[in-house]
Amino acid sequence: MHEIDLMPSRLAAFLQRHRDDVESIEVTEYEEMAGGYSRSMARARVRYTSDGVTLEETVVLRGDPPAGHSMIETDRDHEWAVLNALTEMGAIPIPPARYYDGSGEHLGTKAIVMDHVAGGSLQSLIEEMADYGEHPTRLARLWGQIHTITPDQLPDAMIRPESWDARIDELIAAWRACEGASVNSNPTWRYIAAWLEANKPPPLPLRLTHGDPQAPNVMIDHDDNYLVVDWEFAAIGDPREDLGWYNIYSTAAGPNLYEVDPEGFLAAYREATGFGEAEVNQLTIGYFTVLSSIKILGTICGQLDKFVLGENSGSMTALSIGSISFGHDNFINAIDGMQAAFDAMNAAAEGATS
Amino acid sequence: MIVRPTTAQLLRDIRHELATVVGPEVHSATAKVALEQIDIILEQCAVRTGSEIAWMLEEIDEIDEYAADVAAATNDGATTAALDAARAGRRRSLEVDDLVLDYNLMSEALSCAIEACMADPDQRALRERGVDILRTRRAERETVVRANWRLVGRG
Repeated sequence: MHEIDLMPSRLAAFLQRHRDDVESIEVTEYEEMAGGYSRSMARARVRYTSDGVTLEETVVLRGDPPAGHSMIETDRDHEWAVLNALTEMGAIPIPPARYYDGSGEHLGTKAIVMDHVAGGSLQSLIEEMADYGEHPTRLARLWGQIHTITPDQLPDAMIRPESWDARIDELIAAWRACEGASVNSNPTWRYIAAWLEANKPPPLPLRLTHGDPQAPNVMIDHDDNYLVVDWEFAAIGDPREDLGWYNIYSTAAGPNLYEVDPEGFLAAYREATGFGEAEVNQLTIGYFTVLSSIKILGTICGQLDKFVLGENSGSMTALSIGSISFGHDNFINAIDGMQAAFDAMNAAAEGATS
Repeated sequence: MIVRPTTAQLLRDIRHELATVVGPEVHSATAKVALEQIDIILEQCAVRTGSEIAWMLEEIDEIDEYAADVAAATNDGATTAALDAARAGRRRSLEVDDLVLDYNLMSEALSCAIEACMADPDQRALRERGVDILRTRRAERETVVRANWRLVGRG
């Protein structure tokens, strides 16, 4: 994917391997797409000819960036397994995944070929809006729809936490582990881990989580359907991990449709999932806003360490220092707010019993 | 040594030249995004270069005092050991490469001290003092260093 001049012929040959029902395949246009932070993205126009009939379509390629230039490391095999399962299941609206070069032998890097969505992202749409209309409710329902998928419906290759406690403990431990492995000592992360450990929320059943839910990862087709893309962080976890990550990401790169009306957003989400208010409320979402961020900040931290050691480079990686420091500021404030709420609740409870 | 223009002034001048001379000649979407990212990083470097030595030194001294107070109040072995290591390891040099090592060692003492306070409900006031260092010495300064940071090109 990184040798742009070679890609039209490479892609045509790769597609031909999967389409022996087509006489000839030609890639007439191929261009890199901006906007993919973690993966290299490209769009290609493909012409199929058989028996004198010509059809054209656009496909999207999603592959690994060049070695040492990645802001985030994730596993394409894992993403392909998830996309395949979701495509077959049909329960979540996604652009169908077509083919996978799992070795990089054909496309120059491990890459997934999928349908192109003729439309824009939710991000580009709401950035231009003064009134978000139904989008907050629709987005809450979309996240809820993902969270109705139970572990038994998912590929065996996906890691299954032993229990809810095991999953939460794993994420808390990740804050400490990433800090311990980093070239930088980070007291903020150690404080976060200690606070999260002392203030666990009530549990929810483990479900499919997207892992990186954000408005740029929601495409809107010409029929106004939402389609969820970028499943590289998909995992089995607490559903609120996704709500928390959506909240912090959208605070960094708004608009944040949760923040517009948190109670309305959560009510729509609870209706879609059947979860209760004791488990899904602003305080528990605050907790998961902090907790779940380690999944992506941890890998960013790892790549920044490689940058320090001369094993990674590039403006994308350098820019991600801002993501980590943005988290520090917001997490300390979030913990301050949650702690104050807990203190007030404890004081009220003590007042009621005395 | 010619110290003026300062490093920050030089970096900002490069930003200006990239924006006004190079930028208009860049037409590919991916290269435009890279250029915008570089602009942000240069501004962050300009902010950092003016203050990072002073900030690290100030924080090292403040953590030293704080960790000593926590060690005295809690008898926490990890805090004491980390503080001893940070003090013994101090290079007392203003070379950035030396100072980041001093800062790193003292940061470990801060981590241990806050953890010790988290584990002891009687140390709430000391814990809040530690969190205040995270807030005012780290988070607020990092916010200044982030400067015009944004997630360029998303969406």
